[in-house]
Amino acid sequence: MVEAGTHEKGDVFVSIEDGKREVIIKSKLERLYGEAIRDTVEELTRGIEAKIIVEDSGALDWVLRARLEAAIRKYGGEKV
Amino acid sequence: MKLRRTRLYIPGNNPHLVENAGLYGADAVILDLEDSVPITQKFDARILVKYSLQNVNFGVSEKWVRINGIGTPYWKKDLEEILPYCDVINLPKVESLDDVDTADQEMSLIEDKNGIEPRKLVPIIETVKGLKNAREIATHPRVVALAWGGEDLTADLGIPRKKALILDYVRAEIVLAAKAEKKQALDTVFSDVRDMDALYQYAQRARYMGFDGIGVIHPNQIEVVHRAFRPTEEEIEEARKIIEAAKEAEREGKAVISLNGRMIDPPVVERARKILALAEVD
Amino acid sequence: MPINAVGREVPSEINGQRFKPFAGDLKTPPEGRRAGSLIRMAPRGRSKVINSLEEVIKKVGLEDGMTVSFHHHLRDGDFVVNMVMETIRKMGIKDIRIFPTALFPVHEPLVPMLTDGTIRRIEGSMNGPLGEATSYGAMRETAVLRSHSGRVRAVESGEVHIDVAFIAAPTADPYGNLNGVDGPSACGPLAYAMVDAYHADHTVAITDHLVPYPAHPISIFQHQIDYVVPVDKIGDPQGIMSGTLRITTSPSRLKIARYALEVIDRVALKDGFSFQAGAGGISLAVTKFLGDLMRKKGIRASFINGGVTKYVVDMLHEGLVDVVFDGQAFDLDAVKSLKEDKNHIETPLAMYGNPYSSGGIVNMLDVGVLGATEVDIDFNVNVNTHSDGLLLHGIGGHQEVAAGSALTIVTVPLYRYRVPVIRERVTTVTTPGEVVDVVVTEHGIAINPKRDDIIESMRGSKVPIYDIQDLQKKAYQICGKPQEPKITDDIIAAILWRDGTIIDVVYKVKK
Repeated sequence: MVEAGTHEKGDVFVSIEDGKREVIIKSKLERLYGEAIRDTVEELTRGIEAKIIVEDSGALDWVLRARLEAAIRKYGGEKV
Repeated sequence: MKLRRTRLYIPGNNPHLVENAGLYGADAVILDLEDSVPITQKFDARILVKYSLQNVNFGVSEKWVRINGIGTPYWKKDLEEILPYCDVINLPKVESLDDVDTADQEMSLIEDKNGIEPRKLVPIIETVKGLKNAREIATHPRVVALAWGGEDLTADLGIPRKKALILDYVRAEIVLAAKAEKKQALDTVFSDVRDMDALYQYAQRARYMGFDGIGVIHPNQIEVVHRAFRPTEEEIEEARKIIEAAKEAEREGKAVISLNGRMIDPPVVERARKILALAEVD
Repeated sequence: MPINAVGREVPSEINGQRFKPFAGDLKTPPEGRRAGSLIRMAPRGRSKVINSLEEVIKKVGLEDGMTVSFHHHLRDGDFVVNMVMETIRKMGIKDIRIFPTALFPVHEPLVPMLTDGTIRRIEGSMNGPLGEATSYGAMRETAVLRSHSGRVRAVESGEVHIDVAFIAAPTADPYGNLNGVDGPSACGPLAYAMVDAYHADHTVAITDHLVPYPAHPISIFQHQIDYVVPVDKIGDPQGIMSGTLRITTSPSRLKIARYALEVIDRVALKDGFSFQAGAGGISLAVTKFLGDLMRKKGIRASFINGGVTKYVVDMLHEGLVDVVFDGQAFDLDAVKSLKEDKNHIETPLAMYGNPYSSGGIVNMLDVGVLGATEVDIDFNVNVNTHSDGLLLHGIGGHQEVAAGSALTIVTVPLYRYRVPVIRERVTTVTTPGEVVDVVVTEHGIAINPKRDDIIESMRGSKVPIYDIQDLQKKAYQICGKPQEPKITDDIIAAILWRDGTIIDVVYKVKK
């Protein structure tokens, strides 16, 4: 399992672990940005067969993208 | 020359701080990947900083990134990710011209690969060895300014930072090394974010020491430092008179500029110009 | 349904009562005479003390369907509302209308009473859980929210008749003289409760500090109080006093305060000026900075209307301001000053900003600095609902301060954790754009185009000035355009303008 980001306000926490593809998104902004968050997560994780958890604390879209990319690359084996 | 009175340090892995960093009118914003980022977050921070450079409006601030030192496993990765999107690389713990060359070569490779203009470099001198080699370090064409840090240096000397008597010598050395190469000299941070009077004194002292700016660790410090770097009314008045005298000499075709019977040398006129330029800046 | 002056579709009837649509501030003239309370006669005897709430409720004859009122000087430390309502519930009295000046998270125990038949509706500000429960449809009837002054107007005009006022009293004597400056639950003024004491059919003081007759000073006088009930504790001082309020340390919020200060400096700052102080982080910073600037420029204010905090009190005692009007105290410094300083004056809420009166304090204000949850491109302000539609805050004095002040400044961040604050259309209109002059954000300010004079005064300022549309676009650019939250057509609350017209309604939110 890999993780990226934090649970601080304005940030988003992403974890990816082995398993059947499953995307779980939790956000306080579900009513306002639920679709936007889902779209970005789908766009960046397309084809990744794993359990992806996204816990958003009010992150802007570029922050979400940065955290997803960090998690995906770590999941892909990058270490340093 | 680009103004670098203030450079605001922002921890690179804190999105909330990063997204507002451009609001405060600092001459430069430094997105930090080094000391403010724990080892476990180096990876995340690097990616976050890359995205922020592409998405956040940093306003008037020059975009700097303090990468990890060349003795670490991170610095090449840092450069690879962020170099295309920033203006200045702030390189810590530089000890020799070789260190600068090493960074320079890596930067050139990335710049060529991406087809981008060369980025600037500001080394941070923070060891005794680095201080000894500061004059050489300043000669590198990529280097636009020298900065220094006191913590490691005093540790290196085995003396307590707060009691260290050597720091003014260090400051003088940094200023001389930089200025001999017509580069900027940048003083280190003032860490008491509550004491604005002391900050003003500190910044004004830095200015009279010959520095072009200091580091700031809180946005509230920016306005105070800019004020401290503003020439005083007396200095401005004096500079105006000198420029006026220079113009008069030019009009009258005189080779020698004089003011109140005193001869004015060219560097004095140049200083007067700089002072007036700085006074114009908000 | 009619469309009102801010373009909102509003019903003409709420809970079977007729209401007019909002037509603009001071556009709906008052009618009729002031309403009165039941005339009572005190029995012989020198004490009004009754030792149990149940007994007093029986004595005043509280019945199904009646209206009970409370004040909120004890804020989130109040025990009285829960204590009284629990007694009412246990006594099996049903269908109560609660008419508080405001309710807080501490009043969460009332949530189940919304559905068990005890409470039919709440007319008053609801901060937190009660508002949220109401948003999801828990309240049987429709909530009605009024500003502080609008509530006074409603009582005086007879729009709301109070059967029993339960008045939390930090100090009381056995014959019903009350004050808020002494006792373990001291809260400062009792300003909110004064109109209730005067207009309710029955009045019950509840105290944890019974002193020998006569209590003094006196905020509410004995001839208006029917009974006094001593209890162990009326509140928790920690929740009553906010402690020493701290100025915001957030650099972006401080930047907002500095921009607001620059606007005040250029537009309104002169000897003898007056301003409204608040207790929010940005408001505190503005008050503090304003004090510094006045000191530097040698300017003295005639009065501050509060929301009184240590910062205001310090200015009074330093001689930077002549008089402090106090409707609400936020810390112990304010309480102490109210007790000791004759230039610190307790003001009944009826004097605050009721448009149907011969003129309130707000009409004398030069500057009002207010906060908001949202502001839109018509300068309309929302302080009641969050952007997802949930009703979570009361109106407070927002409407009257905005309407009365010669310069009304709304200070807001451009966005909060991805949620744009400057929007195309506010979720709920609390205060119409016609009474809002300047919106200040950390990115710059927007001036209401109808205020040419302010635009002129700000010429040459370093503060970035934008069209409000551009601020809104900037917010959407940074955050992305928010989707429309899913709400229903069911109205759960009406927001009244201070004159009693409906300015907007709040809809039920889907879980």
